[in-house]
Amino acid sequence: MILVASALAGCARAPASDGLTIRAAASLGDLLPAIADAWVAHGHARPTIAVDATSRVARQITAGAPTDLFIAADEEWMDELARTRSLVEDTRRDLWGNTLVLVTPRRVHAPPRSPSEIADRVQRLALAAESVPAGKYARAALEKSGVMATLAPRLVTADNVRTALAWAARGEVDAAIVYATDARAEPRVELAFTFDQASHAPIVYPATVIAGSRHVDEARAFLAFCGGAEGRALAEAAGFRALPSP
Amino acid sequence: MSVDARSAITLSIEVAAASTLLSAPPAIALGWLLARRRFFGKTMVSALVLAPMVLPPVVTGLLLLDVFGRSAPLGKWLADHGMPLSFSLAGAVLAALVVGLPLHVMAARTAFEVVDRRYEEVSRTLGVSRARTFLRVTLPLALPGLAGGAVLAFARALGEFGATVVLAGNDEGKTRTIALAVYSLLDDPKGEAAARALVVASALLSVAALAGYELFNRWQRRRLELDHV
Repeated sequence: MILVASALAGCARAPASDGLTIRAAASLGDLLPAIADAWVAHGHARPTIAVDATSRVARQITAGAPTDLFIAADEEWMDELARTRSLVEDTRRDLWGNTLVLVTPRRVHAPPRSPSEIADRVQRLALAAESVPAGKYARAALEKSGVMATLAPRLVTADNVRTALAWAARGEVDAAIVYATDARAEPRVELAFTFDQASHAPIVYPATVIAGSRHVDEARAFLAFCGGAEGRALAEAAGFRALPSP
Repeated sequence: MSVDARSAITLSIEVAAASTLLSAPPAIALGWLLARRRFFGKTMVSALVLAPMVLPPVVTGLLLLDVFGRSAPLGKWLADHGMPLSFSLAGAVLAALVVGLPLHVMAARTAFEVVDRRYEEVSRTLGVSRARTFLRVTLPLALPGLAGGAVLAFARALGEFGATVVLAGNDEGKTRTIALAVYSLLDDPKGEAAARALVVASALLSVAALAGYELFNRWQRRRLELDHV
């Protein structure tokens, strides 16, 4: 009994580290820990990083999850959050950009090299759900390229972009539309082509400090670090585009 | 985003009904075997059948994808013969069937266990064959329990999410059932109101199914009591 009680008490105690709490888009799952390592190397406390689909992260923050810094994968959710929970507005900035690509399983012989070739070579095309940023960009790109009508019956909708990637890696689908950074992270897929940047809204990662944070200054400093030379180098190494500081 | 609520509701009912119908024969067979027979590997069979009830549904979905996916030999063969299971309506039905089967089998097992064996023995001493005894005595006596099991499996199939989203994907009009539609709507900043409507529909369906289960339960008790008079 006492054992159980003390075990529960142990769980209830929050981790002692007084670092930042960062909630971010799933596609930053590899980059943020790398930046955090560099940040810690400069003598800062280690931040706690939680990544999930942007939509889910935004909902958690709206519901009051303790958060110092939020990094989204599109502007819409950032705007939505600004409506429901106050942000430290002057900290909002776009940190990185990404590109949209089509990947095929490695063993495919003649992968499509442009949107117009998809119809001839792909029977099942995986992409993320309509409301997930990656899914929105992908659908916009297919519409804009004029191939949506042909491809609509062949689309397979994944929960998030990483699931679409996994389906392509396993050979369950003939191709998937994912971020360039995802394509790099998965050795079992091959990059077929990159979608024209003009065919979809710019893919950017807006970041902001959440009002009520007890670490506003440190959060600002971390944002500056992300946009600084070291942060940019790490982002570019992972396949992101580092955006100019505002 | 537009999520078609009506298509989600119809699809949910279709998937749940199909999976329940398909699971009835194996559930009855397995329930009877587990209730009435001792055989080598019985514990193993029971554990395998019941596993989807305790496995995380996403894990069940991944295992199904490993067996029935297009990258697996069996899945490829099925797809080549016009029966693709991954990312298809059939896949949604399969996922619902596998997660609903344990409830169906457990209910069937109990239904057969509570049938008084003396009725069967009497039937046999009167010279009625084994098969005929099963059809004319055992099955009618177990029927309310079997129907209750079917209703439970149906209710579980209605709520299926994890295995479906991995094996069948989340496609409007094809595999997007109520659970998947609500989940998709929650990912949409403007989807909350539509999600609420589906939540109400889902609650009504589930309550109706469970009320049906309760009715079958009472029927079973009445029948058994009457039979003992």
